[in-house]
Amino acid sequence: MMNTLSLERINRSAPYAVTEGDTVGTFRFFTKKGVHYAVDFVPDDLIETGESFQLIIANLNNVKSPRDTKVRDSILAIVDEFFNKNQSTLLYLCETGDGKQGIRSRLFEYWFETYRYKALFTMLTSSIVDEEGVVNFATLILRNDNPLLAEVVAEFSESVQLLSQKPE
Amino acid sequence: MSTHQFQAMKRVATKEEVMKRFQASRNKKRAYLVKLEEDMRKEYKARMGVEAKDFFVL
Repeated sequence: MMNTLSLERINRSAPYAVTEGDTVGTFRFFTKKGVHYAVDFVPDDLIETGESFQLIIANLNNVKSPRDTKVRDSILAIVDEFFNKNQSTLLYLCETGDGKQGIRSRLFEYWFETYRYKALFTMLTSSIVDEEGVVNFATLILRNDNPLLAEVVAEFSESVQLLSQKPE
Repeated sequence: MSTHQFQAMKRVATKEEVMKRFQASRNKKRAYLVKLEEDMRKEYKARMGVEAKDFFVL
């Protein structure tokens, strides 16, 4: 079960005013251009070692605004508080519906590269080809002080390796 | 039990099992997104007074 995040702590570093959604682990904010963002943490079972959550990032009325670093910083403030309160594994599976999963994966990796505490975390990204032949990108993030770090990384690496094997 | 003992006892998953879990994670996300879009559209309408346009997932 996910520990409750402090909205006050999130808003101390988030440039946009973050509010809580209706359920635990759901957060919302509006940008200056009226884009409505959701950042949610959903329990997940892909990794069996320890506890893990999927990170969901979605928006309504998206407007391209690459110079608006407040979006990235607000999302990172929420993720930072997630790891402040939880030692769980965070999994990010890029949406594949429009074929732009590679761009999403690179953007997410870039965002995380700018995270001020990134040295305290282990981040792994791999591509996985599903049964329909679609390339999926999966990113795993966990704290370096997670007692299950080695096991989680081993399970993720073994899983990716298994899924990369061609049928005999 | 030590970590090494635990790992030695742990059964190695098959490709089919991992693919099944991967598909389950994706399906769970898809189902979650349907509800999320519905909720976000309601929140947007309540705040902005107009219907939102596109729903986009990162």
